[in-house]
Amino acid sequence: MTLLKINGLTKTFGGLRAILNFDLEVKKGQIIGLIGPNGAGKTTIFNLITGFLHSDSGVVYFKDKKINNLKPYQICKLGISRTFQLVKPFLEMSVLGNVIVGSIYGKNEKKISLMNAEKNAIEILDLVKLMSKKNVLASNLTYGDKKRLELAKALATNPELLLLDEVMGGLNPVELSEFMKIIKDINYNGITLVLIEHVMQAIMELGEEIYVLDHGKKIAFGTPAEVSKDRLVIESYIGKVD
Amino acid sequence: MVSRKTLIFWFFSVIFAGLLPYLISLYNLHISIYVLQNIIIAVSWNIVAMTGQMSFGTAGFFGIGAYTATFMWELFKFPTILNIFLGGFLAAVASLIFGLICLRMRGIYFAVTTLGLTEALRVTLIMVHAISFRPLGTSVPVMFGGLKQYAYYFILIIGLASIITEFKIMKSKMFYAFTSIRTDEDGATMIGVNPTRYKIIAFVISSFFIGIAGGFYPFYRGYIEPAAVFDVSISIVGIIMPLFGGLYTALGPIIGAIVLTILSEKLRFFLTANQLIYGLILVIAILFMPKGIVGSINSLREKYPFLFPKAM
Amino acid sequence: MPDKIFLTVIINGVLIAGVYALVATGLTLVYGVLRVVNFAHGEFVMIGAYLSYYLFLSGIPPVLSLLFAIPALALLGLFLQKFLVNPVLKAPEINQILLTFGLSLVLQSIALILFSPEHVSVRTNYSSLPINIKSISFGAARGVCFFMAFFILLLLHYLIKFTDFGKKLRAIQEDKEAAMLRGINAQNLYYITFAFAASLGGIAGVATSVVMYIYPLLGYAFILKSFCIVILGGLGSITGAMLASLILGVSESIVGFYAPGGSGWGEAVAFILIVIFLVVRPKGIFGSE
Repeated sequence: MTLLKINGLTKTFGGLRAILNFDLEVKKGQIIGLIGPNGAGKTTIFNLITGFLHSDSGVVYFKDKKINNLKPYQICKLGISRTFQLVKPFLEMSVLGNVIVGSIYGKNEKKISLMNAEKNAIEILDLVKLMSKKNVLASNLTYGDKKRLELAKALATNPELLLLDEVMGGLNPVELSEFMKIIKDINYNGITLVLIEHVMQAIMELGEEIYVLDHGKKIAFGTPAEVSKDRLVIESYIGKVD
Repeated sequence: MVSRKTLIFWFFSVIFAGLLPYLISLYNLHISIYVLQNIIIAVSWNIVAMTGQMSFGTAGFFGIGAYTATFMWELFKFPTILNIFLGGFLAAVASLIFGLICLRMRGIYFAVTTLGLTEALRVTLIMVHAISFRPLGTSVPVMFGGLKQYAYYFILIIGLASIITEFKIMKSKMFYAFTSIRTDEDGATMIGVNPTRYKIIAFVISSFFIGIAGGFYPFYRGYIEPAAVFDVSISIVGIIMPLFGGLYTALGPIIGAIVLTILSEKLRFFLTANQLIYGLILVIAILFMPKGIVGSINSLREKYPFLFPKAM
Repeated sequence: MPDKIFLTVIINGVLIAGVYALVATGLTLVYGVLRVVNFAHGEFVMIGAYLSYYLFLSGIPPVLSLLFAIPALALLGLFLQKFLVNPVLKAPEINQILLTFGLSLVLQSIALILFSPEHVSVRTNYSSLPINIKSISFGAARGVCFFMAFFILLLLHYLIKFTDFGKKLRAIQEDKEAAMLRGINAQNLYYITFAFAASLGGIAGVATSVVMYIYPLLGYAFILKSFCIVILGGLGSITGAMLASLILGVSESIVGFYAPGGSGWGEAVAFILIVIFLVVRPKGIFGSE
């Protein structure tokens, strides 16, 4: 079943074309990778999907429903959550508090009580291994822990589709393999994932299909093996090889 | 969820407050009424501040409450208490309309617009009086025939209601929305929180109480005029008291209101000294103690998470 | 053939807009470069006005008192910047608003204590002189005021557009990090800008002393209108501030003349303009955010 479908997405900033005619399809249960050199427009696509930015043209369908003009909080309630590359926890709140916000206001808003939201939050903190720090003020966390919190917040909203933006950037090898396991667990529990990543090891191992973006255009698409051999892809990362 | 120590504290506080008219002089009772009025204003302002909005429009809704109440009396001769509640009600409606238009704005835009609202209302009322050749000051019959005791009990009940509302908010799901909006509005919207909706809720609740306090004013003082009820110092007071006592905390506005009101009454040389002190408090508080008294104490007790309202 | 009276009303509005523009420009400069909201900006005007008044009483005409006002206010600006503004440069906007608001209360109170609350004004020999051009009349004082303001703003425009200093200011306004990487000393520029804005306020104060009544709470009257103008024109945009000043000045003049009750509606006009505009176009005419 197709969960997310994007047709002809285009976005311009001033005179600069950030995204041009981008297509994407994600089926339920998949892990999709989105890679490309810096500035290719990957985060812009996430921003467009989640309503943070408005597209100039093109359509985004979530479960066959057009979500282009919805506000971010509405899209979140439909079942799409994302993390930010530059982590933005609620600095004035504790770790637990941060996640509780997601538990309350995500997909479950109408039905959940504060007590249950807290229970839900604790389960999630357990999953990302932040339980021991649940009462710590978010501003006092290490970088790696802030990344875990970012993931926890998004998970708390009970998404069907989770967009992770460079969630593994800056992690040491131990943290990296932990995160990869967590992501596999999340996917195993039924959540569809799209990952923007620079950490090639992670994306090649996790991703079923990879989209490659350069200067706002899709330049390649396929399995990790196919994509890593694609000439255009190699050129875009390393520069033209003559 | 409420500890026994907390319950005992509040129980005795309410008893004490209830017995107050019998314990102190009439003059001090007048000050106590003034303290309660300020508690209501401070607590209400604090509620809006929790959503990250800085309102300079407190005086505007105070004045709306005051003039609505007066007008209801003049036109319909309703009983005093009904007039006062109508004042609160209309202030809430006005805040809803104003909020729908202006609460999308953030920071300085919102602050200035609320300030402008107050000034525009003040000026409008002055002009209305001028055009219709009415004198600026109007006499109003004092409630309960001038028996301060009953006026005190009335405002005490409203004050307690506002405090209970504040506590209930801080223990509710909504508080998470408020805090997330205040901390990072964009982040909040990405996690499913509709910022405008909660800002409006806070604003309307706050304005309701401010409007009641405003409605109370003419029926306690016995007169009303635009300069008095749309006085920007009402807005200033609403900001300083929570700031001094501890912004975003439950007890902060209450402590701030009590301390600063009593202080300003005891040091009453002339009006200018008040303003000078308010200004100095603001400057010093921001530079050295941005969390206020209660907030600074809270920081010292960091073992408790920020999220749970501390009653003691 | 446009109604002569209507033209007079417009012209008078334009003339007062000059002073408004001076004040608003200082405010918007401080926001653009320092990202600070200065609620006490109106007090610079008040101080300049009183300086002009007391110097006038000692025999110095307003045009010359500019020579005193400018350095005096620049110094005050430097002082305030160092001790009050610097600490809150990186603080949340709420702190800045409250701090500068507190400062304005303090300055107003000091003024109330030092000077009487009575309204005074500077009465030069051209104060009451009307000028008639093709039967459009306006006060000579307003004219002088306007030309003072116009001249200074022209100078400012030249400074910002064509000098090195101006280029640095614009660089910081657009992207502070990038500017600092290019070696621009932001801290120095902050001092200079704030002092500059203070002087602009002072000049406006001197100009105002000739046209309007001076009183200790004069700053308060100016600050709301200045914020309106700055918001209308877009936070940080000087051109926007000038345009918006025109709009406000002319609107006030029209309402003042044609509405029953006259100029009492001044503040209400400013507020209504703001609301209409912010609803329709939240970023102002030339908003940079």
